[in-house]
Amino acid sequence: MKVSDSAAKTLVWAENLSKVYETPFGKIEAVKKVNLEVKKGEFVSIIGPTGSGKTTLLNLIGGLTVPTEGLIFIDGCYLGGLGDEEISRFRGEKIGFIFQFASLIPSLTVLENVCLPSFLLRKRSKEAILTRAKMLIERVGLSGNEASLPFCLSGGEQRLAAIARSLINQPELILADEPTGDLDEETEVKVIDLLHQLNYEEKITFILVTHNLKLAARGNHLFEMREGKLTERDKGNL
Amino acid sequence: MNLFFLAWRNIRYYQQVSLAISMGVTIAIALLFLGLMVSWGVERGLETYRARLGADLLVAPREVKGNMESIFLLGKSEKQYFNGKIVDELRSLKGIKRISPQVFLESVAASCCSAGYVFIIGYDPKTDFTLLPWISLRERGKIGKDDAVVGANIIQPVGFFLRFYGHRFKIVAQLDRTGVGFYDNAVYLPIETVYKMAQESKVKPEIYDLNLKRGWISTAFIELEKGVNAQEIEGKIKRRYPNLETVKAIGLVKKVKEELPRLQRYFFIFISFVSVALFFLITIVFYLFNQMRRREHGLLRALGGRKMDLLTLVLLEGSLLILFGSFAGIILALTIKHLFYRWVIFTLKMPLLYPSLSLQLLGMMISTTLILVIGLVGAFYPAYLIANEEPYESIRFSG
Repeated sequence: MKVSDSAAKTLVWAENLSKVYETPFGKIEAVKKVNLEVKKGEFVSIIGPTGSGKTTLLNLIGGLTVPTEGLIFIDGCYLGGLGDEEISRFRGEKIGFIFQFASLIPSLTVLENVCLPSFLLRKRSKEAILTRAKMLIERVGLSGNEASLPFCLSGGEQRLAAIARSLINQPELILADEPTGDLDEETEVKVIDLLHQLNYEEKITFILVTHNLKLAARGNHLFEMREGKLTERDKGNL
Repeated sequence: MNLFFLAWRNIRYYQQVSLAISMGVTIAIALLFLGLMVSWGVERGLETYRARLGADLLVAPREVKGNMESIFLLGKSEKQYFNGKIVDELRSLKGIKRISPQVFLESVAASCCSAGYVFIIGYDPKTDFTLLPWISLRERGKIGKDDAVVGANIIQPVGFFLRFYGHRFKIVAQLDRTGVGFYDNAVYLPIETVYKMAQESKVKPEIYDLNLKRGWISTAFIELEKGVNAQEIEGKIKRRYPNLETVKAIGLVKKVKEELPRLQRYFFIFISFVSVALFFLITIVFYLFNQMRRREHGLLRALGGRKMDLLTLVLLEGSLLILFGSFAGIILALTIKHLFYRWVIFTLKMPLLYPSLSLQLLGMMISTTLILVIGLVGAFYPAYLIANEEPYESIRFSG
């Protein structure tokens, strides 16, 4: 399903988005009627306390979980209308993920980890994938670590490898869930600088979830999530 | 890179779990394959034994009644003899085509030439029809008084020498394996030489007294004329010689044949138990293994992997582990089969001749396929669960 031409520059469109989890202790409404529009090339930051629903919202946008209610369109495509095969392909092609934890596959080397989304997509030749992966590893500053297994890398290096991996399929949207959560200040700045550089140079749209207000303020838009509700914050008040 | 590559890397990375699963499969497949080999081996052993025996009736002293199977199947010696003149008398009995005597000496432990004991049998080269037909004409022609024909378990090859009771014998022929101790552990010597040894044992102090009188024998093998009722002949012999016991050759294998279905039934129950245990082992281990790697699987889905990719990956990992386990299991089974061959025969008290190579290969294929199916069915449910979980659930709630 395609949205109207007027929304052509809109990359993410979420309407009345809700997510309710059923737990043994009752229902938890993690996301409550959220509306969000993110235009192509924007860098959007979402802040909020732990348990406010930030990660759930990011996963709803990434198609990793199905909303209880509401609609999500990514680049004009209604995610709710896609089957497993289509949504997997869509995720592989359009969206890059940077998670809040060490998210490399432990049995694969750095190079193999970076290549993995492209191999799963089965779209490009092996040579093309390897060339791009090596270029990305160099770009994030991990040259020389191609053959290393994740446990040989520091937390910051693992995060940089995950960034390289998120870029392998040249996605239009990158969802970064507290990518600097457990990193030291120096590495944190280095990672966020890299994300902004990618946003600026390659016009990749970013939605960044973070606790760090200072880093969050560097985006085009700043949203705050509280008890499942999303509100836009004025950056001037920070 | 493809799913096979990823499966292989995961197996290598999670070595301990991989080893545990493979070992379970190894044990299961070794048991299954060994069970098949023993079951088929007893069937083949019975067929070979029946063909090899050559006789329709066997005559022995009444004292060995009840021990006939242990003598003629396992080759356990009984020092009970009867006068060999009876053989000449029986030869004239109507319905008897051929008759040949044999004399058994005490089993001797002979580490020199066998893995266990050796069963020394004296045979009559002039009348024999049970041993010599199995030896090639060339070998038959050169058998002398100090020549020995040996069973398959005798380690020394043709041309080598054996020493028993102060005599030196040259091995001139070796019989093919039958799976029956009576044949495989035997050393056949001309009956005259055996009597000579027995005589010498009385005068030579260094030799244990064999306590065998010249002309006395342990058994007589009888071949009947075609169409003659064996039971009738048995009756005649028993009436005429009440101190003798007769047994039909078919009767020797009858008991084993009756036992075989029971053995196969136990084997089936045992294998069913092993299969069910393996099924649950694989299901539980794979479930726990997948729970442990829930985040990893969620990540694969987040990075563009389809449900089918994940299902295929987990089943590929399972298949590879089962195949490795199967390979190790077959090697283990072949080793056990070889090392414990005689122990199995003595434990089962049945003739055992392992099947031909082609049947063994079939057994390997059956065992591997069965375990592969059980393993894959066992691995399927945990794989299905993980593949159908929302990626976010897998990532968020990983153990």
